[in-house]
Amino acid sequence: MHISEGILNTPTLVGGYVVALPILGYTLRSLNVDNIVKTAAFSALFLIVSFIHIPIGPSSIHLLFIGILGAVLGQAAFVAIFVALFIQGLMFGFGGIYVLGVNASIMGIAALFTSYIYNLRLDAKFFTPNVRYFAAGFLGVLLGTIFLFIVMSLNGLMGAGVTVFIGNIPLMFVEGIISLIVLRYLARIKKL
Amino acid sequence: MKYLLILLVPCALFAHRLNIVVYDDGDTITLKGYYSAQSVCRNCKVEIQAKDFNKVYKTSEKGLVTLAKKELPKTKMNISINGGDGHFEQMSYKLEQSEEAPTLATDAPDANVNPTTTGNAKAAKNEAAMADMQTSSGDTKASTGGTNSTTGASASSTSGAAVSGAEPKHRAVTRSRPEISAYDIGSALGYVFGVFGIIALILSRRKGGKKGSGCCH
Repeated sequence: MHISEGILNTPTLVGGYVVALPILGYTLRSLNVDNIVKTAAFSALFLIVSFIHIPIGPSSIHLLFIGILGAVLGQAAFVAIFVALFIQGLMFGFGGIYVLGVNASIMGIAALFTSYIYNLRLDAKFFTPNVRYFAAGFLGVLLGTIFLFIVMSLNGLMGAGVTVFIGNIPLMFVEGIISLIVLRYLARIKKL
Repeated sequence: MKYLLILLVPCALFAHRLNIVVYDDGDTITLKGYYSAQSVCRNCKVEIQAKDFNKVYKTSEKGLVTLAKKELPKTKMNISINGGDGHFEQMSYKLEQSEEAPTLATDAPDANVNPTTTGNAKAAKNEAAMADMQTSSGDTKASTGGTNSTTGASASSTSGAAVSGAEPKHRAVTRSRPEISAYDIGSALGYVFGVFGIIALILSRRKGGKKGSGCCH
């Protein structure tokens, strides 16, 4: 889901920062001494899971945990993702500094939306805890992929966007299942 | 301000990571040396070593060296590039490996080399994007309908082995990838926690400052 340097045009790159920086400033306010350790830990988790590649056919996809971050951290998820992407772009070339705004907007906003949907008090008959846990992981990737598709389409890369979208469909289910396991465990030990 | 300076230290360290990319243009291969910040490695020493083969070339102003395949060994080669000041990268390459590669995509740096000469620039850009979305992770990738041969034509080599490229219909791309070690990941985690440590420090100072200002009124 990381867009590399040299793909997007300048207006999109600038637009990415225009969107990301105010959100970063706003979400930074949600950080406090109580939740900063948890945010740092999940930011580190986000960085680590990007290295776990799941082979699918001739290619592979990597985990994101956008949904889990959104569900656990709430608004602070955006900060966690921004910091992790910054370090990734700097040290490993996953994404980059110029596209940091776009990448952070794609994944961070997806995490914020997921957090909002996760915390909605919907019909408890259908929206059971297990459904919520699965939906968090599934929606995180789905929303991120939709935003990614929009960004790529704006840059005349609709074909590649469709390919990426299709490639990420298995990831939605994989993350949904992982999210179900992780969030269920966190709820059981009353850390959620 | 001092916090910002601390954060910028790794920028300087990693902005100049040297990379190699090899384009298979049919009868020729083109090597390109470039830094992580997308600037090319000009006049850099390129050394190709194999069994009974050892030659040194120099990259052009565009960071390119184009070589005729017939002058290169068929065995596995070790390609190294030295940009000076400790900037060094090497990779293994075998002429046949491109044909064995899965057909998927070209890579991003190529799209930046000669935008005016890319007949299928949009298609190449599309594929470049696909490659970089990390839906693929292989070191060797191949593309169909990529850019044309003018990259090769514009390249030069001081050894005299450079040739003008033929019109490639099938361009394969192999690039060096920095190996991510546990040490690198550990360092990255250290930076993540360090950044949040700085944020925590700022938060605690602000909190302390507010308390302090409140006490003295």
